[in-house]
Amino acid sequence: MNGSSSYLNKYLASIPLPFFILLITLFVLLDIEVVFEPPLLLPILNTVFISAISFVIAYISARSYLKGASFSVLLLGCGMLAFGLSSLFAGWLINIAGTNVNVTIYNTGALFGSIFHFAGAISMGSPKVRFGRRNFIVIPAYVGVLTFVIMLAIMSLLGLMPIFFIQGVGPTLLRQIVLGTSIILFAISALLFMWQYSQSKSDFLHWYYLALLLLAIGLSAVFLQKTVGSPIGWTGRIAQYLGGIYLLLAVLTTIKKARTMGIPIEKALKDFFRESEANFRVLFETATDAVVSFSNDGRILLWNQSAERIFGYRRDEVIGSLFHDVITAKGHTDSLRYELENLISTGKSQLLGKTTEIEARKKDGNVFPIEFSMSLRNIEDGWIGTSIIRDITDRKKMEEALRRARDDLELRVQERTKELALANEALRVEIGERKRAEDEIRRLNQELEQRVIERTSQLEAANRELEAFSYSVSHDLRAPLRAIDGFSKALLDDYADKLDENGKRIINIIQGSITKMGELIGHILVLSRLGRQEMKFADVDMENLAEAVFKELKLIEPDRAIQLDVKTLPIASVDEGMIRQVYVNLLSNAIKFTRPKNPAVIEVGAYKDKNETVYYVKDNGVGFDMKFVDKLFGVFQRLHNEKEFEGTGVGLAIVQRIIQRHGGRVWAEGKLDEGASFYFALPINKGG
Amino acid sequence: MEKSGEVEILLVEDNPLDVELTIRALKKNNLANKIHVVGDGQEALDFIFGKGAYAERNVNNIPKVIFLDLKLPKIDGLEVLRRVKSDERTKIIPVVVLTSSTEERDRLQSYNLGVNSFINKPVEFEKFAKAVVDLGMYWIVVNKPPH
Repeated sequence: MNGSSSYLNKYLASIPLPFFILLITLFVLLDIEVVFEPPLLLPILNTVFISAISFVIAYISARSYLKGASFSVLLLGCGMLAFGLSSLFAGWLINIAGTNVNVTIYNTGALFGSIFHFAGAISMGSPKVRFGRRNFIVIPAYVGVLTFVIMLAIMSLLGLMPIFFIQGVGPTLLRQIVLGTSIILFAISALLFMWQYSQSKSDFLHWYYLALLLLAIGLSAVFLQKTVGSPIGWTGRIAQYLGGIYLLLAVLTTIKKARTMGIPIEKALKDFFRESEANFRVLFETATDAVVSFSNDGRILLWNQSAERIFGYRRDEVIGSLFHDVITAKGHTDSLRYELENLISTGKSQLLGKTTEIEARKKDGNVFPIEFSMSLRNIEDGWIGTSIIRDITDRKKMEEALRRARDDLELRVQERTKELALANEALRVEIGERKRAEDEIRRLNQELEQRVIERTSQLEAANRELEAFSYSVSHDLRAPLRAIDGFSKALLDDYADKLDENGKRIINIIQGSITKMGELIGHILVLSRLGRQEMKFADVDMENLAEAVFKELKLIEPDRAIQLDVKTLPIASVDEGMIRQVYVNLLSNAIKFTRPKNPAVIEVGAYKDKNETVYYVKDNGVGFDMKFVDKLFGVFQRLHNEKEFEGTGVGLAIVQRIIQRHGGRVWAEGKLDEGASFYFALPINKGG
Repeated sequence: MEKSGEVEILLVEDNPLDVELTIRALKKNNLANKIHVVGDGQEALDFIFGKGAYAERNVNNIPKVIFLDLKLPKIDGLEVLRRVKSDERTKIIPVVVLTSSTEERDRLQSYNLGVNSFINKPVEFEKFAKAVVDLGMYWIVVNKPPH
């Protein structure tokens, strides 16, 4: 764990392995039968290099297990205990009971030790196994191993065990099976630990798997020896002792690490073998964020796969290097470098205990944004820092894109808001104008209404005047007229004998004029009354009405040959009295102006046209020149002199007034000497 | 023209020419023997109810018919008609309105007040004379008032 030097140490530590293999091969080929077995040498060496170390490891394993380490640790402990005990007994009994007992005990113990190791090795990565309270497991397990080895020793001493080894001849088949199995299991266990080491890079596992390989090699030499104490036998023993030393180194590095981290050795061991170890490894290695641990002098202790990916440095390139040198440029005084240097010198940093967005440098020199969080854990002689680093290049890009999109949107919103404000202003102005226009319209309406009221009252006043006038006319004008008539008649009656013919003629002229004037006054009264008369609408059979009027008028001139042709006339909703007057006037005109014709033909008809029904009276009379058509409906307007056709010139004016009061219109068509047509149109909602 | 005796016709007319023409027409048919003429509405009411100048008159001698013009000085014809027709003693007197007015309103009002006949005076004397004579004949000769 101390930079590149530890790598060299690790490589050097592997060198004895091929050396021992070569040596064993050499001795097998030479087949030297020299026995070197001074008393106490083997017991002491076994005790020191194998038993003592094994017991220490068994002890630490038991403690670790009790502190929460995985069950595999306990199995390793059991294996070491069995191995250590058998080594101890075998070493001490060889001088008392001979080689067979030594071999029997030692090999059987090795077998059990290897079985336990194998079980421990394969259960390391497997799901946790629980067996109730841990001390209820440890004590029976270790006592069981102890009892078993003692029983083995006793049975061997009593000769109850099968023969394992014959000095000078070699091992029996049973012994070879036992020891061969043991070697294979130790080798497999070593390989499993080696694999574990490749995952966790723990120094403990490094030394441990090398130790197990040395044990396997050592036992291989023992497997091949024919004579205990021969050079090949000693080669195997030395290999095993070196394995013991390696085991000791495993423990020592763990103790050192525990010291560095300020925790007990059992806990440090537990950290390698704790139940969550596998999960932690998976988390550590599969984390998408870089996870880096570093010591208080700034040297990198842990560097996970994501750190390799993110920064571009392999683990073995950076372990032991200065953290701030790796992830920032040298001489570069950016904030991350400054903060990390500050942290190392003072143990304080702005970056502690929070997540900071900051820039870092990759192996290829590219500077990129990271999310950096860091925490410190105090240990006995300092602290260990752990950083979690996330590459936020993509996120930054996305944020930048988002920011740009948001700015763009903001800009557009502003523009749109401006447009809206303008539109609003325009609308407000328009509303103002419209309101002013409305006010103007309202004012004009009020004015108009006022004027209508004024005009109406003026009209009402005019109407009243007209009423008074017409009353006056009817009363006052008729009275003197009647007197003239009456007294001229009286003159004719009383003084007939005194008047000559001319005198009588003059009186007759006076009376004729009076009749004429009477008619005129009568017509004017009708006309004036029409404007005021209340209208009574009812459905009127226009056909019947026209025929009835014609019959009455015909009575005046019974000798005339008049051909009346009444077509189908639609029923109309009109004031019957008024429309009767219309037909009286139109038909009497037709009768009058057809006098020169024989036969006289009068046609009464109607047709529908858009929204009105047009009624007409057509005759083949004297007609009129269309250039005088405008004068036809005027009051006192006549196109013929009195000698030709009598009349007051009020009839058509009356017709026009009546039709106007019905909401309709009148017009005429004519041709001199060929006839005339008079039309009146009634709106369809009122006329039929 | 009896001043205080029995009167058959009371003619209420302000136009002397119309009065003369009316009397002339009645005379021709021997209907003008007992005619009394008054020139305004006030005088007409005085005569009928025996007041003013006619205080001495025996009001029980009611005329057989009253010829009444509508347009009269002082009190107009419609008012005279109203008073005659609203008095128990006089409402049985037949009243004939003789007027130049062709106003529909006048005609309606007269009938509402209980007029017995409403005649428009024609301009032509012949027609006028005939109407007066016919009415005189009817109310004086033909009609049998309740006694």
